[in-house]
Amino acid sequence: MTTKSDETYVVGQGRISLSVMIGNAQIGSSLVKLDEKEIGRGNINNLPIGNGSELVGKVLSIKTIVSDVSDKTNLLTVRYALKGGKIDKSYDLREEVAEEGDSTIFRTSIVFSN
Amino acid sequence: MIKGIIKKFPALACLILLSQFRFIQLDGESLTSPIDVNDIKTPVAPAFTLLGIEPTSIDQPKTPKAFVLSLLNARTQDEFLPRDYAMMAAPYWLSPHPTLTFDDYYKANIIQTIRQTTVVSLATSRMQGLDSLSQGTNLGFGLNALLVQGKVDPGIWTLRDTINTIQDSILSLIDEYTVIPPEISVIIDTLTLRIKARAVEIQSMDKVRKGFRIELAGGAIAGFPGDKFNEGRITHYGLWLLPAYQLKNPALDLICLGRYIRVESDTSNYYDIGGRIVSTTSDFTISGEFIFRLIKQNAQSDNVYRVNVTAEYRLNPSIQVIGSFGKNFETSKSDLIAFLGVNLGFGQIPVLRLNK
Repeated sequence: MTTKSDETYVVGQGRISLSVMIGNAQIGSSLVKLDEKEIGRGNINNLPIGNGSELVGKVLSIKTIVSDVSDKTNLLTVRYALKGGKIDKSYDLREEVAEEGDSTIFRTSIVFSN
Repeated sequence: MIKGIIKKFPALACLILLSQFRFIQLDGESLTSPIDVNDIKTPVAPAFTLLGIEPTSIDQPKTPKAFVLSLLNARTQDEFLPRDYAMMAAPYWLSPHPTLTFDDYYKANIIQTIRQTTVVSLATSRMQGLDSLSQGTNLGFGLNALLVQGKVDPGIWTLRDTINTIQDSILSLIDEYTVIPPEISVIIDTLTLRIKARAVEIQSMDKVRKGFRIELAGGAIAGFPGDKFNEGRITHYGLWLLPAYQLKNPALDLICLGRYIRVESDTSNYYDIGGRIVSTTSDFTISGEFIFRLIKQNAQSDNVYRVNVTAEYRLNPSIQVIGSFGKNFETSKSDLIAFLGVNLGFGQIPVLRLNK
């Protein structure tokens, strides 16, 4: 199963960083690319993306796989949190799987703009 | 499934039939007996325990929508309250928690532990009476939670890392192809199954916590004679507190009990204090328990005790054969505990199930 989203993030003069949070006590891993170049993999916590002015027009693409390891819930959630722009912003995605242990891939593209 | 059991285990089939008969007897008792809370364990669902019911079907909604549908489906138009309805839900898990990481869950402080483990139980049963005015509905409500959850097996962190490694492999494969060829799809499916197997292991480890635990449970029963709201009154309430310590080697569970039950109908108060020791091997569990009970009714008080040994053999994950022998609290009638039966795994499966 795959969940997709397309977002826009308004940059400023500061350095932009990304954190990926896997919620609901589930387990996940991410692959982060900036304009098709890999910049991060695995557990992403305050990953530096670059200076705001240099990022305008570039696309940050994130693929995150999350697996349901909790018997309390079948809901998988991912929060992508960007810092350093005009405002800090987070994007939440969620998906409910049918069976215990199932996995889902979340795909997100974030375009940086002025 | 039942047919298969009868063919494979004819002796077990007889036990199953006996156990069904026992359930009917228990239901019969619960309608007249004021209180039937005897053994040492926090009730998984205090509402069911105080009502004295053994529901064979328990709604366990995992989403707010399922919760509302469960309540709506249970009630018919002409009923005051849904009859013979049993529901358990963990409110915390009905909503998403995007910031609750895997590590946060397993390293929770006391407040977070209570939030994560609180379970609400709700049940109704028919109130039996000689005439229609004394018939009605009993409504039970209960809450139980862990204050201290115990330590999880450290192997869980290795499993987490293994799942992360497999997830990275899947991400690499997906990233390599714009359109995934069938042979790669087969590899991804295999990797996904590996994750699934480890997820089940994590769930098993989550259920077996070692070290110190404290469980707290409470519940109340309200009776509505004649199904009239204005006639409703609290008939029983109770509180359980169980500090416990689980040793890894030898596999022993040491449990203490503090319990208070109030029965409004005869203004009696039950104060229980006791202990239980449980030894578990792979499929066999044996336990011994002792409970001292102080009964206070008006100005009078009485002391009784219960001592009991129970053995349980697990035939498969959903069927256990149980034997129990000892002395119960009863003073006016038989106080012998002698029970042999099966637990077919309906609803939550207790570690040991004791019966009068």
